[in-house]
Amino acid sequence: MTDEHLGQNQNVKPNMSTDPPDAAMKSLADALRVSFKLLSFIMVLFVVLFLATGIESVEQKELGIVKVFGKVTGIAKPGLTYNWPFPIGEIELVKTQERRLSIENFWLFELAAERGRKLSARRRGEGGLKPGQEGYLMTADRSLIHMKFDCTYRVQNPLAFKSKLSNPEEVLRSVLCEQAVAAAAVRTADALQSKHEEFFREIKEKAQIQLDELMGVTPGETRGIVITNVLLPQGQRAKTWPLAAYTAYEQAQNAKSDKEKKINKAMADATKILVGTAGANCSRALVGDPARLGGVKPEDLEEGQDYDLIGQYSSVQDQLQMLKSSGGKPEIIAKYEKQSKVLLGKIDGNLTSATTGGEVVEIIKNAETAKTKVIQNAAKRGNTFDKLYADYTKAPQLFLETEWANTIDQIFAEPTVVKNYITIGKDGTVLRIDQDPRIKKEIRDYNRKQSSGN
Amino acid sequence: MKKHIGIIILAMLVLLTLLLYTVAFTVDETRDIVLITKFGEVKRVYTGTQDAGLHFKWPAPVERVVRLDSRGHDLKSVYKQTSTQKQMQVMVSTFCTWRIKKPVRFIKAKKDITGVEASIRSLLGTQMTSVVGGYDMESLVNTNAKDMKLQEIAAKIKDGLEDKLLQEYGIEIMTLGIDALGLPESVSAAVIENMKKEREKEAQNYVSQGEAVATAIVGRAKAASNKILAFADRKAKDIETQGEAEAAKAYSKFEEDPQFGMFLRSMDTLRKTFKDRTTFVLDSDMIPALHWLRQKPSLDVYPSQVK
Repeated sequence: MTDEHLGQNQNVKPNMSTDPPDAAMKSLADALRVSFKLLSFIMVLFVVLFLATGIESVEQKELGIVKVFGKVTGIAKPGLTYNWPFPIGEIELVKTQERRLSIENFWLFELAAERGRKLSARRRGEGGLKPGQEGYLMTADRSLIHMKFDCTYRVQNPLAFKSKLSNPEEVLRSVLCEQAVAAAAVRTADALQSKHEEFFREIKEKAQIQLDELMGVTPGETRGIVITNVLLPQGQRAKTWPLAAYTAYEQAQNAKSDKEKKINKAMADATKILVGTAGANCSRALVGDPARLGGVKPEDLEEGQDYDLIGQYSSVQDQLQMLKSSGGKPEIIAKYEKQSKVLLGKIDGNLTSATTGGEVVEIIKNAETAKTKVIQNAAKRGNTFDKLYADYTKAPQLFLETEWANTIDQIFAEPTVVKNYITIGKDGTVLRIDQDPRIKKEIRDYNRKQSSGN
Repeated sequence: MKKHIGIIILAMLVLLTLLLYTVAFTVDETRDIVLITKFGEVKRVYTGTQDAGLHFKWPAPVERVVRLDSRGHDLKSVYKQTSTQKQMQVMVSTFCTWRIKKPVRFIKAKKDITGVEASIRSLLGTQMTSVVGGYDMESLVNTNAKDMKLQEIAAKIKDGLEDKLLQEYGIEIMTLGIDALGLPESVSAAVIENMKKEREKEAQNYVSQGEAVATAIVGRAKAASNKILAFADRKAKDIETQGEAEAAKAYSKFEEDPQFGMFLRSMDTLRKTFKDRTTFVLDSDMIPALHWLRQKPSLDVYPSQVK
């Protein structure tokens, strides 16, 4: 039935409404009208929905490849984008945020129950490593090492990322494994353990070159994938020796650590000895760094800095001795003697410097004190001689006796001097000497103090 | 009729779209190789890089669309045991990235991607065994990077496969590499045993070296300290000698009367030597004054005369 027919039905006279067939027609017409309207609405809704398929929201850290009938027409940046509706147009979204790929191909076989357990506490199977089950790297010294690492990367050029490889992440994994095998094959196991940063750097650089080739990227072009880092996973043990050899490696590691501790302690002791002898600066200037392993290179020293003067002096002296015994040229001998003198002057300068410390200071100080004392005593005696000589010349014998008696008096007047007088008889005399306990105690204290001072 | 013209157009559009589906097809620039076959025979080939966009064909069953992925596919070989030139047993695994180079050949091989990959894997295993057998262990692992030939081995495996794969399956290898290198279980057991022994030896070396180096360091420091002290003593003696030289100048006054000078010096020495903590045991006759303890004074006798 057409709309016109429906329109004609609407024009039916009201007096005919009582006619049952006309009422049925009207009811049918109403139902058809409603259905048609509903159908129209649904169709319009479908059209709207169809058109809406062209709207795409590109999130931050995303890019969209815009295609019309499969042909790429542009790259959509973050924001709301409209393209032709599907299936005419399509926007393929690619995440550009940094992603992490874990490479566990070279890691040991772990039972789920053992995962959280320390390696040292794990079951250590005897025998070899099962191929295909236990991953490891073989090193240049034919050792085996388990290792896992992470690769962080991001998509820079979404078109290259999507159009060159069907599964870029799997290819990236294969390339990283290949480079890890090659990089381990030219390194010793110890180098791999201790210098893993260098190992990872090599993997990263070579894997990037390989990926660029695979994605047809020439230098200067934006890359499909940019490897941002290759590193050990955080917060977990990521490299170890095979568990069967674990104890031996631990023992070796402990022994190495002990060795380092012993050497460090010895170096500290050596420094203490030298600081105690002459202070840090003076001892370095005089004997260098005898505790330093491998010696000191000239470039480590500041310009004009005194270093190992005694060593230099000794070698100059050796040269001199050799020259003298072999009849060397006088001018060369003179040159060495001059050099020797200069070095000795520098040594003396350091020994008496204000920055010198330790025993040397005491030795020099004692010598200075002794020097002063000798001079003062001599001066005092000279003065006494001058003062008394005139009296002596007047009555020499009387002066001598008086002076002698005065001296004896002075000695005996000292409170700690003990005097025991005896009269020697004709028969044998037995002498029992017992000192004043206070003096004995004083002597004991003095001796104790002296011995503890040494 | 006019009232519903929109709906009619829309209905016709829907009808047209449905018709288009049977005769039109798109070629995706990023991934497609499209082959149009007519009763099973390839008639036209479209590649995404050159022919991306909308295309038409006769509706099925006259012409049909066969769509292939133009991108590189990753494939891993089996981890396989093989022998080196000197009959050492090693385990090697390779991977390759391949793509369809000749789509018609690929279709004629009557294989899907899974089937082709099985064939590649098989060929890869055979070729790898043949190539690795021409190298010794030192070419696989070596501290000298120039002597390590893993890349060369991979290149040879690739060269050996390329022609065959292209001719038979219409595919090319984009890259090929060795992604795992190991040892059979029995060999790895021996290697691990050797590693253990080496480490035990190393541990012993560390212990003895630690002692020796530490002793040497302290020894060197003590020797250096003694040298410094020897030079300090020499300097101290110099200083004292200077003092004595200056003192000698003061003692020159004694030359006027050496005997008197020496007497004064002796008295001085006595005073200093017996200054304190000295015990004297003396004959009472030695001190004339003690005479007055035993005897009343008399002007006739002077104490100095008393013996």
